[in-house]
Amino acid sequence: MKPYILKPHLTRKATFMKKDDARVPQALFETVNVAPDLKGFPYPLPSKKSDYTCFAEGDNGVIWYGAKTGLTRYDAKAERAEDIIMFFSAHKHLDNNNVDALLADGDNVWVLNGDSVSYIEMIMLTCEERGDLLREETHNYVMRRGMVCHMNTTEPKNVKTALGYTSCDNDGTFTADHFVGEVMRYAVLKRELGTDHPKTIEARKFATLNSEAMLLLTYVHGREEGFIARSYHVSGEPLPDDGHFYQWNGDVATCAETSESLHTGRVGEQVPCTHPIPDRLAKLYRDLGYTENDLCYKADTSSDEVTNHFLHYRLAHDILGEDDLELDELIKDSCRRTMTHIINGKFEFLEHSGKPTTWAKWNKRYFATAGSGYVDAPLNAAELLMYLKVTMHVTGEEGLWKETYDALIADGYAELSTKHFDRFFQGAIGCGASPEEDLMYGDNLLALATFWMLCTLEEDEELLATYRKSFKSWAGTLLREVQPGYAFPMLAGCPDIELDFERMADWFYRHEITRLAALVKLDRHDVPVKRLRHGVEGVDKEMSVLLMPDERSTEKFDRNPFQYLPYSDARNSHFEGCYPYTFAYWVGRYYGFIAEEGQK
Amino acid sequence: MSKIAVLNEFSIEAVRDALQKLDDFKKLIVNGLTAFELNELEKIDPVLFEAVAKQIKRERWYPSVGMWMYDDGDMSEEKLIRNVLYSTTYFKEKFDKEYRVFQGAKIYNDAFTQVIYAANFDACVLDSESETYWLDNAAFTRTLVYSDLEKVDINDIDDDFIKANDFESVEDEVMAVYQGELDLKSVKQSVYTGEATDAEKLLLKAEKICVQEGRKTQEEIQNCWISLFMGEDEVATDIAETIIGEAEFAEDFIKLNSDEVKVVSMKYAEDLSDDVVIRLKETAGKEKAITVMCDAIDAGFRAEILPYELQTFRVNAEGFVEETPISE
Repeated sequence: MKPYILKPHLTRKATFMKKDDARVPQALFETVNVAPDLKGFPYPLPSKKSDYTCFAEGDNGVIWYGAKTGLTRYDAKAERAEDIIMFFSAHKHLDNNNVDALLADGDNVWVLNGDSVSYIEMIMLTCEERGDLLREETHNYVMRRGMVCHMNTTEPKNVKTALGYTSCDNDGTFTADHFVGEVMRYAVLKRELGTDHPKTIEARKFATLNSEAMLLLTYVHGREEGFIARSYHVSGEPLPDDGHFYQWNGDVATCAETSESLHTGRVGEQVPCTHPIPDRLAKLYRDLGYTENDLCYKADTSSDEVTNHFLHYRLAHDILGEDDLELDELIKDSCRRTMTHIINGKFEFLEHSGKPTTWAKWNKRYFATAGSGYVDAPLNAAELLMYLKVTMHVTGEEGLWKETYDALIADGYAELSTKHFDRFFQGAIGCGASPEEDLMYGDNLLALATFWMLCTLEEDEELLATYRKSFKSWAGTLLREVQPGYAFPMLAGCPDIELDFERMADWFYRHEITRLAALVKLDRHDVPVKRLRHGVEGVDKEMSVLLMPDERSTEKFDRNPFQYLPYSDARNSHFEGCYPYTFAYWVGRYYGFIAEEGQK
Repeated sequence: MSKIAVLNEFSIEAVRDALQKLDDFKKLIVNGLTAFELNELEKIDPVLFEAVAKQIKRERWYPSVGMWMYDDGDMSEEKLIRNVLYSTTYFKEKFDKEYRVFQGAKIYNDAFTQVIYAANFDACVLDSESETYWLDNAAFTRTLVYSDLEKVDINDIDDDFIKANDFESVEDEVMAVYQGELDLKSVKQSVYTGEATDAEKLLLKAEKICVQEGRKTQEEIQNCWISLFMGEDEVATDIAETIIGEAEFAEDFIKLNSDEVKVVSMKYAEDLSDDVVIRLKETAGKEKAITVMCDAIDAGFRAEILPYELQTFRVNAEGFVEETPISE
């Protein structure tokens, strides 16, 4: 297929200041407000017509309309339908929604909101440039020791108050997703610019760093048997009161006190940590002055983490491995250890005590449990097949891996993977919810990683057809979000699916250059709110229309993009990593689904 | 397997017999009576109705919920929607009950699955079906069609039979299926839309004109629809013509930017408030983003609609819009 050509496009950038800031032009305070005449206006408007109190005309006939309920940009000549009407609101683009005055400044606009002023710039950027700015922000504020998840701030929207540490249950998962963008970027730049180009060298450096951080999570526990830690902290980083943390001290790690470890009676449990951490990975903390005794790792690892580690093994081996044999050996060793652990554990991930973790089970005993096991079975069955397929691919070995894979196929695992939608629908209705309410958005990424890998590794035609059928059983939930990060891997796995590339392009064009959490005004006049089927009236609701990314709240990646979110400071006080954008963009470039205008 | 005791005959004697058996046997549960039949019973014999109502509230009598009155075959989507709406509203208002299993005949309309799904039914039992399956719709909704019920006529069974068997409601038996292992085939619902009759078209026009002219006659129109369900098309037509009078609906009163999305109905809300309900249907089998403009009610909003999907919107006096279940 020919790539869809992406063009440079306007991108929003909001800068906030007090009204006495020297940068604010005096003319903003001298404007005389005239309410616009909007009778017969041809498009739905985000604010009620009677709410608009002022307007200003910018370059190229663009009109900015100020309202008591936000700011509207009208570009009658916009090429794309989504760009004709744009909405800007608190707290993402305005300090509050009451616009007191407007002053157009070329493509940009000054907005007076009481004591505050927002300067909104519309900057022309290519999609690659947008991604580079997002990466820069992530590297500066979110990444810690190669891991990328999110970073809390002590004040809403205040970059300067970023804490420098965070607690995340899913460091492996989100770092893997970030790694996908980085490693695909490296592969594309190497292909297009050559190995020695400075951009290629920089791309390889960061992809390798993320890969090392992923691998460290598979050794940081020091357990002899293969295991993967959810995350780890170093001395000085406060432990959250959540989950099971093990603090290194010599040859043993001891379970720290948290509400959960008190509840499960594991406080003080001692686990040997005698397996050496490879020097290459240990440098991630040693270079910062820490030793093994500064490590505190988090256990009770879920299948989310394991699945994303196997996604990482495959891509790291394929793209970084040939130029970095030392790293490739670590990938192979980690992959073998993890797979062996799962097989020895009878398809469960085990704590040192021999008990399974809460959410990492891939055997029929779990599948037979009513509720979650029955509903999870199609995905978990496919995950286990994917782990084995990746292990064979990465290690180049068959033996036990092939034997186990064949036995699982004979046991119906591949066929079971096709039943996702039926069981998901049944499970939702059976527990009195509606499917759209009961969606586990985090599962989307797991399904994506699993079937993307299976469909691009399996050579047996019959099995491949089964995996594609299974992948498509997720189409309703994956494609609902019109997110290229979901759509492109799906297209790579199932080349016959139809994608609306114009909507994909809108998603890239309308993505902003920051992932600083910020909420937006959702009670809009132009977008219906949808009452959910079994939901409580007035409480359980979604937006009826999928808003452009720059008009949605910036929130955690794997949450419902239709969600109607109430405002809270807590939701506003963190940075998210940039992987939603960079994953989507570089996977698209890697497979040749998209290209930049003028790109050779 | 539990038996499903059903009241097949709608007569005073049959109802009395069923009630007597409920009194005599505490484990017995009776299924049957549509909203229409209960409404008639209340008019004919209020005392008997109260006795049935008591058993419905005690969950020993499960009515036949889904359609206002039994109907089958081809049907326009709006007639189907009103039938379902008036049935569910009746049980909610009269008994404070919401049921999850639709019971009735198979309706030949491609909106069938969407309508019963949006009306909060999680499954349906259709008279004509002999197997259990998923019925899927082009607009990504589905319902479970369940057929494996052992029905007996409440008026035909004797004391010995009742003593020897367990009884269950259709509702409980069908919903229990969701708790077990299911491996069913999926059947795609055919794309077919029943045409609105002339009387229905007149009623729909009358409703639009009322919105256009700000006339509040929705209660009267509700009665017209009920007359229409009963086959009294002439009654409905007469009233609709009276409401319409000489008025014409201006086609540009509501503007959509796609010819492939139709305004199925536009009316004042059934709860008799000032809110306006707008129902749209995609007719070309293509997903699309559209805009809807109606300056007269200060409404201008965006919608994303799937192939053949029905969407219903409720516009309040301020022009703010809520997407609601189809049965509105």
